[in-house]
Order: sequence, then C-alpha cells, then structure tokens
Amino acid sequence: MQRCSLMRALRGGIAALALLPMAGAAFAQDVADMSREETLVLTPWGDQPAQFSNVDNWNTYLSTIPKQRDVMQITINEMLFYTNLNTGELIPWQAVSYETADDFMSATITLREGVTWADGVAFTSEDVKFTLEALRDAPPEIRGAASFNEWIASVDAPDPLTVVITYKKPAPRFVRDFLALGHENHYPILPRHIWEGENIAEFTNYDPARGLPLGTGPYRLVSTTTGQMIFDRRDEWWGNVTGFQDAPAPARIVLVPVSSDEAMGQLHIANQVDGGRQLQIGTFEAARAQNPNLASWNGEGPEWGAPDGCVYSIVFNHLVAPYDNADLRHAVNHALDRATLADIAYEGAMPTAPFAFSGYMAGTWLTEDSVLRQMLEDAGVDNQDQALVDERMAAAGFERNGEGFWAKDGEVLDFLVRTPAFIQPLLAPITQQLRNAGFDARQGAVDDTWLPDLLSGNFGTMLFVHCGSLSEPLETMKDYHSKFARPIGTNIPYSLAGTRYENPEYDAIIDRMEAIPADTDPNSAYMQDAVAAMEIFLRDMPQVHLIEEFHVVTFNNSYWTGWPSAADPYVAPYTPWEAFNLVIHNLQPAQ
Amino acid sequence: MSSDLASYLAKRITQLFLVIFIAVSVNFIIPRLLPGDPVATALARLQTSGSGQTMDIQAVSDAYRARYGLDQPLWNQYLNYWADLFRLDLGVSFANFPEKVTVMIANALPWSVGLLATATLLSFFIGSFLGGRLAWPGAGRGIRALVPGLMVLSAIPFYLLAIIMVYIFAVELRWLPPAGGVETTRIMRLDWATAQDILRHAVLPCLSIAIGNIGFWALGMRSQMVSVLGEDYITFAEAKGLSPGRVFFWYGIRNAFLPQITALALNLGAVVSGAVLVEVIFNYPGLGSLLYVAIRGQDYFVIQGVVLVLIVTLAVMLFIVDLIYPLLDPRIRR
Amino acid sequence: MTIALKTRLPGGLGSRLGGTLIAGLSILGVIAFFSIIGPFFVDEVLAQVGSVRPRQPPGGDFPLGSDAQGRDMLALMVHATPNTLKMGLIAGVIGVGLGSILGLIAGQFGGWIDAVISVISDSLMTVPAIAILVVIAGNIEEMSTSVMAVVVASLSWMFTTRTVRAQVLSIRERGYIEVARVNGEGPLEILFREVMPNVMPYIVASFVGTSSAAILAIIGLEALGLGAQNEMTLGNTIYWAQQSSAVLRGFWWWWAPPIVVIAMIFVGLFLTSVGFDRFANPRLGRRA
Repeated sequence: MQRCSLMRALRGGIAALALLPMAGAAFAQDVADMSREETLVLTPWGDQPAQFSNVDNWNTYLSTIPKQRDVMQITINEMLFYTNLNTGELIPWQAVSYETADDFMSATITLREGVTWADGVAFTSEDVKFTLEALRDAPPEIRGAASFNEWIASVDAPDPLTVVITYKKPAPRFVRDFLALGHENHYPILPRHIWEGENIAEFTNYDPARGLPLGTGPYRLVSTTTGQMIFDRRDEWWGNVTGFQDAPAPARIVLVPVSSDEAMGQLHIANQVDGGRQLQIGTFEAARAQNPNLASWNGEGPEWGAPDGCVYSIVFNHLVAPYDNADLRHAVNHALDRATLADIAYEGAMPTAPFAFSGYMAGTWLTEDSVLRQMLEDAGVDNQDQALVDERMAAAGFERNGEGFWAKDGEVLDFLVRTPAFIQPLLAPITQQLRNAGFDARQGAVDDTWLPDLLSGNFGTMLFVHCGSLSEPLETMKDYHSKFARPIGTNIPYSLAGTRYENPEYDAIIDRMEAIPADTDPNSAYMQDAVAAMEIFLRDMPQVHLIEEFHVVTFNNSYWTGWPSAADPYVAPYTPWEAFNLVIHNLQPAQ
Repeated sequence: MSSDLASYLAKRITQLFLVIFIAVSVNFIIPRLLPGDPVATALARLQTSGSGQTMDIQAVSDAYRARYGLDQPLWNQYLNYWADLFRLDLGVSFANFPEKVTVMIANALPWSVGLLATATLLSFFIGSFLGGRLAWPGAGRGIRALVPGLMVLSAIPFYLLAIIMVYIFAVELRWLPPAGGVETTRIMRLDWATAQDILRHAVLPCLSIAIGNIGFWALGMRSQMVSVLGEDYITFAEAKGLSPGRVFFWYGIRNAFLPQITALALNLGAVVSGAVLVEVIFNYPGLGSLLYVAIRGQDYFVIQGVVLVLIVTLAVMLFIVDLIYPLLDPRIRR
Repeated sequence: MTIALKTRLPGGLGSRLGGTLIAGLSILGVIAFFSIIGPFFVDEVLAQVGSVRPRQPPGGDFPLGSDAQGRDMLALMVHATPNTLKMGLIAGVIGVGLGSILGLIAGQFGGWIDAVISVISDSLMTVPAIAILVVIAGNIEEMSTSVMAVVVASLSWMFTTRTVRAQVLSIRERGYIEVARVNGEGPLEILFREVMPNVMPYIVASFVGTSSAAILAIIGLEALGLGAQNEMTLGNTIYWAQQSSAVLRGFWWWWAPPIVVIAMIFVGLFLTSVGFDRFANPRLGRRA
C-alpha cells in the first residue's frame, strides 16, 4: 500500500465531500450576493425537516403546502386587514374598512385605492370576489373550503373598490374571523388574472418567467431550493408608490430549514439566524447567556414567551364511562397541582390556566372587574385538595380498594393517560399526581395513534390543546356544542372539540351567541349568555384545563431591531401568524 | 475465466438480487402487518397544525387512499409496489404531500454520500496504516500507548462521540460551526467560497464518524498483520535479505489488506447505522436527518424509501467490493 | 528464525493476552456488580420524572445532578444500566441460540438446508441493521424492553451462524468424527457428543460479540426515540438529554454519565472478546 495512493484517495474523498452537495443543489441563477446586514434570516415555525420539500409548489391553498404559514405571509402575500391581538385593534391594509349589515346577512368591504399586484395589474374587488367564490366551491383538500362553503352564499363587486358578501345565515363575525384576524387564517386574496381557469387543487403557482408566485407584497421570490428560499425587496411595491408605507428595511429575506431546538439555539448563538422557530426555555436561557442580543416577548423569565391562544387540557370522552360522570371529572380536577406541573414540565415557562381563555383576553374580557374573571376565581377551579377528591369520588360512587385505588363495584378504575408528542412533558407528572390521589393511572404510549383515536372516540381521556378566545369567549365555549359530537366510531369534524359533550341547554346558549356580535357590556345579551354558559361549564367540567401554552419566541437583535415585545406590543409575536407582516415593516438595522 | 471465478461471480450476483428482494419484501410487509392507518394518521395530524380545522378529513383521506391503492388486497399492493419500484417511484411523503420520496432522497443523498465516503476513507486508510505500524516489530512506546485509546474510541458509538465533539469544539471552543450543511445566507455556487463553507461544516460530522472508526480498522489491521508476519513467506523474504521496509509494505501490508477489505464491506453497514444520528446531531441535511424526521412524523413512505435506498446502496457497494476482490487476490482469480 | 521473529515483536505481548481477557472481564464484572447491588441501595422512585428538583448540577444531595424532568441522574444510571445490560443479554442469548442452532444444522446436514441457511445469513449480514430495525420498531405500538430485545435479536444471529457452521465443517474433517461414525454413533449423538464441545468456545466468543452488537443497536434505536418510552435505559437517557438540548445548555451531567457507562460496557466487551479469541484459538496466541 503506497503512501501516494493513500493521499490520492484521501484527496478524492474530500473533493467528493465538497462537490457532491454542490452538484446536488440547484444552482442559484442570477441571485446577487447581499450583505448580512441587509438580509433577514428566518426559519419556519416548529419542527420541520432539515430540508425543504415541494420547492416548486407555491399553491398556498393546498393543505399540506405550508408556504403561507412559513414565509409567504411576510413576503409575497398581504391581507385585507390585520389585527393586533394584544389590543384588538384593526389594522387596515389592502382594504380600508368593513361593515356588517344589521341583520348580519351581508357585509361590505371597502378596498384601498392604489393597491397593485407585483406585475402592475390593479388589485380590485373582482379579485376578492373570485377568491371567495373559488374557496366556496373548492374540494375538501383546499384550505378553508368547508368554512367558506358553510357561510358564503355569493359575492358581488359593484365597483372596483367595493365588495359585498352575502351570507347563507347570520354571520356577525365572519369578516373578522376569516379575513381580518391576522392569526392562522391563511386565506390570501388570489390574483384573478392568474388563477382564473386553473384548477385550484392542482395549480402549482410557480413560474419565474411570469413572476409567479404573484402577490401584492413588497418581496418577490428569487430562488427556491431545498436549503433556502430567497426573497428580494421590490421597490415598486404599491405601498411605496402610493406613500402608504415605506418599503421594509430588509433588502432580502432568507428562509432556511432547521429541524431541532438545539440546532436553532446554535444558529442564534452564531448569529446565523434572526428569528423563526421557538426555543425551549432552557435552550433560550442558555443561548441568551452566550449571546445577550437574544430577546423574547417578556423582558424577564421564566414566563418569557407570549400566549398563542391555546391551553393544554385533559379531554374527557363523554361517551365512555365513567368519564361521563361530572363528579369524577371534578375529582380529577382537584387531584392536580397545576403550578407543580408547569414547573416540572415546562420549567415555569407557561402559566397555569383554569379555563381555556387565552392571554389575549386579558385586556378585554378578563379585566379586574370582569364578571367572567370573578366567576372563575370564585369557583376555585385551580385547587389541589385531596379532601375534595375524596368527596367528589364518593359522590360518583367510588371507594378506595385494598391497594388504595379508586374502584366501583369491585372494579378498579384503569386510568390511561394519553398524549400527543408535543405535550409529552406533561404525561409523567400528571400520571404521578393522579396516582398520588388514588387513581390507578398509567402512561399511554406516545405515538401517532392519539389523533385517529381522538377523532373516532376510541379513548377515555386525552391530553390535548383547547384553542380560541383570541377575540371573544364564544370562540372557546362553542367547542362544547353538541354539533361537534359524533357516535363512537364516527370521526368528529373538528379535532379541538373532542369531548362529545351533549347538553341542549348549553347548545341553545351558544346558538344565540353565534347570531349576535360580541359585547363586553355586562348587561348585554351576549355577556349574559356568556355567564350562563360559563355556569354550565363550571358545573359540568367537561374538560380540565391546566396550563396555557406560551412559546418562547426568540428574536436576535444583532442585525435587526424593532421586534414586538411586552414593552412594545404592536402585534402578536408569532412568525406563522399573518399579522407578523407588520413586524417586517417595523424592523430597522441594528447597526 | 475459470469456472471457480465464474461460480464466485454467479454466487455474488445471486446474493445481490436476493438481498434486494428480501429488503423490498420486508420493507413492504412490516408496516402493513402492524396496526394503524398511516394515511388517516398523517392527514389527521394536519388538522391540528394551524388552520387545518376547516378540512374534511374523511373526504381527503378517501381520495388519497384511492389514489395510492391502499384499499386494494395485499397481493395487488405488493405487485404495485414492485411495479412502482421499477419506475423508480417510491411514493410520496405524507408530511410534505405531494412531494415525491425520490425527490427528497435525491436532495439528501449527495450530502450523506460525501460525508460517509470521506469519513470511511479517512478512517480506513489512517486506521489501517496505524494498525500496520503497531504490528511492526520495534514499534515505539508512544505508538503502543495508542492501543488502549484506540480501543476506547472504537468502543464508543459515533453519535456519542459527536455529542462530545459538538460540546468541545462548537460550544466551548467555538472553532467550528455546530449545525447545518452551509451557512444560512450562503448562495450555493460552484466556487471556492461555497466549497470552503461546505467543508467547514463537514469537519466535525466527518471526524466523529472517522475517529469512531479508526480504532476498529487499526486493531483489525494489527491483528491481521500479526498473523501475516508469522507466515512462512515473510520468513522467506527476510531470509532472502530484503529490507525490513520492503518486507513490511510489499509483503506484510498488502497481504493483510485483503481481509480488511472484506471487513470494510461488513463495516459499512455499521457506519451507515451510526451516521444517521451523527447527521441529526449536526442538523446535516443528509439521509440520516431525513430518516429521523420521517420516523418522528411516522412518514411511512419516506421511511420505507430511505431504508430501501440504504440497503440497496450497500448491497451494490458490497457487490463492487466483491468484484474487486479477485483482482487483489490472485488465488481466487485462478 | 522463528525465535528471532518472536523477540522482534513487541515484548510482553504473550503475557498480555491473558491480561486482555482478565481486563475485559474485570470491567464487565465491576459494571455487573453495581448493576446488581446498586438498585438495592438507590431507590427507583428517584429515577422517575418529577421526583427531585430538576436541572440541578452535581453536588450535595445529587452526586450526579438531576435532569430536565427531575430525575436523579445517579439513580437513573443505577437503574438504567441493568436494564440495558438485560436487554443486551436477552438479545445476545436469543441471537446466539438461534445462530448456533442454524449453524449446527447447516454444518452438520449440508445439502440444500445448508445452501438456504447460508445464503439467507450472508445476505442479511450485509443489510444495515438499523434500517430494518427502524422499520420494525417504528411500527410497533407498545414498545417494551423485551420486545426491543427480540427485535434486535432477529438480526443478530447471522454472524454466529457463520462462525458455528465454519467450525462444524472444519471439525467434520477431523478424524475422530469419522471414528465416532464408524463406532455407530447416530448423527444427533455425534452432534452433541463430538461437535458441540468443540464448537462451544466459538459460541461463547460470539456471544460476547453478539451482545455487544445488540447493545449497540438497542442504544442506537433508543437514541433515535424508538425505544420503550419512559423505561429507564441508557439509550433513552441519551434521547432525553438530546431532547432537552443538553449540549447547548452545558448540562454535561445529562449526557456524560451514560456515555461513560456505555463506553465502559463496550470496552469491557471488546477486551473480553479479543481475550477470549486468543484463549479459544491457541494458534493465534502462539503467533503473537
């Protein structure tokens, strides 16, 4: 074995190491180099693969293509309105205002003058009419099809700046919830002159020669590969031209994939990234110790993050005994110490929650003098007390057997606690606390069977999220309506409403609330209904709510400042939410 | 070609096809034997990510099942599976629908091949050379002291070494980047800057695998050399008066090398297994990361596809090694 | 010349051979000792989630600190090590048992049985174990330590089969098998009385190697997250450390103890394996 062959082979190997990926990656054509100071580097939200997929498919209405959630909402697409969820303030963008008729059967939207698509064609009511009706008629794999079909009867465009939507039934909150919230709506208006005649379920919306994907936003796509998506700023953006807003500061936005919490932390430390994926609290604190330019929503821990509108809770299947017994559910509630759970599972990064109202309600519906807040405090929901457990279990007909476990008629209650992977930290502590309270609890396997089982009713209890209440109590409370219940074996239509709770009295209240707009006035019909619904909830406890989900959103101030925070709450800080577009317009170079 | 050689080749070719056949069949059977409906699971998962609540799961699920023939009897599915394989269609990813598995694998493959090829070459040659040197009579104290170190290194799985190396070199010393294949803002071009960036990011993952493997090769080579040095022809060569260096290289190492090549073939499987986690630790965009994410997301077809590609690639590489063997070992050629 | 050759080789190697085996066995012995004795002294409850204050560095009450979810690391090590060893042993026993039986049959009976077994075994040997194991493990709903051991064992028998078969074939060519046959011993008797005792050392040697490979595969699968969730094993410990970004957070006591223990196990097994090879095959011993 001669030494020269050794060296030759080695050199060959190293060359292969470098050249192969370069050969494999698509060559970026005509992409200029841009300095790091002009570039904003972001990642998609949550756990994603280490490489992008479907790089040539920019049809944001296909349910499995998350481009709108990942990056289109801050670059190419814009919305009619945005909302600052912290204050409830409406921020008009492509439109200027909207009005709902007194009978709630129609709504009129007034568009802004001067909005244009990236190819110069004017943005008009015809585009809005086209999009809403296309969604109404679209097949089920199109995002939003079911909802738009449920509510929209027809859409008219009497003049280029006016849109009139006619509903199938009274819809006091349709425009706000579907076209203005700036949350995870993902229903951008499509350019009619591009999409008309295309099959919405198959059109890939990608053709660089024609400028596709085409939107009204201030950026255009210049490169899309498995490792990067690059958008460059267009100074001919309508906002710049009409004087509505200056074009955003970053000349380039780059989206890169990152597949783990640790990798994201490393990228932040190395200033390779400016924002995107959330971090675990420990990772955030460690990264911040090495890079003081990192910041989250709050200035101090451990509750660094911001609410995302969801609450972790125990879902009881009301069609499975003994979980149909309200006393038993109350007993489970009193067996748990929420503060300890939050500390063990989330290192104190998430606050406890007695009910599924999100933190975004704090300034409006849960103020100091609010009736709802008072009711929750008086009910003493968050109260771990073994005496109460014993009392409720006795009322449910259980007694402790020889081994100290709750049993009825000689049969021990086998309490299987299940959870999806993203709530796994809670599984062991909850099981332990239940056991301490006398329940023969055991941990279920953490795999992917939880979701089909949740949908079909093949479970007794399940840890899951309960979301809503970004703007009003109805959003969460409606999930207990019996219209979401199905017999065991039939899938429920909406995964977040999994209790299969059925109570006609409660249904009537919700039906009434859905037909009228939200009103914080304690004397209003809406508020009275909200109180009545809350009373029923507190009596029946169909779900035990535990901990509000806060994510430690992480922003890097090394290259860009102006991120939203508790000190400057101009918008909710979540990158996948559409209102994050406002952040891009607010960023300034750090140097 | 002698009949010995012919039967050797025939046996090897049969083996190649058999491995592929078994791999494909096992890959097909196992997920379908066990409970759970991957289509429904994947789609249902979409319902909870963001605004998926407005999707009719049942309708979409039925549409996908019809398209991919998952409602057909098992035998039909098996035949369709083979037909698809011949068309190089490995299915689609549910997590990233409608991205094809072949596209995902093609994007990840170059990174993995580059990494593994270099790491294996490095560890094989350096390790073998080191092992040979160790067996050489008169090896100094310093070299002999390496033996326990090498043993420990070869005993630790690669990914554990990777964790240690990330900690030391990337987190504490900050000499090398801790994650990714290239810098986030790098525009990939065919130029030196890109190549340098790729190499910088590849150093730690490559070293983790290489160092973990060097011990294996060194010790293997050393024991091979030890048996070879005891053979009669070595004695004969020395008796003839050939220089020690010549004896060492020309007769010693060359003969000890053959069993090493065989061991290389078997070791590649272990290397691939360990490399999966190394890629995960370094967020390196190769097949390992692809497999890991697919496992966590229960992305059925991606898992099958990656596993199949791994097995077939290995089988083919072993076959090539088996073809080279007769060239190196004249005894078989006869 | 032979004598001269011997003195030119690194000295002391002859005596070191026995030393290798002893060293290996000692390391394994130490680990086994603590695995058996340890659980009696350290409460298992401490190794469960939420039982102690989380994220404590080593010192004071917690000699090895505690991890992100409130497990006492020392207790975790003490309880995880026997679990991992147990899985490795089970996988090793099943793998070697299966492999020996197949190897004996193949070597003894020859013909098409031999051909089938050889081809299957050779083919499977070239398959990267993790690939198949991932597919199997990823599809099992309720993974437990015993199931994992069996799954890994299913791909660990090939090497033993090959070794045993080769040994049986070489034994068959020796004289005393012929003598036994002439004496009227039936094939099964020959198998047990003549062949087995000569094959035993190889079976024991490959048991060590198989267990080692099995533990490697088990830890690998667990580190990927395919292990028995919430069981206390070394691989799971690595997985939990990874999930909690232990390296980034500088919490070395989450990942260093399992790595050290794993390294010790493998070094012990390796030394034992090498030492036993020399012991079983004296020709190797004489050479060096």
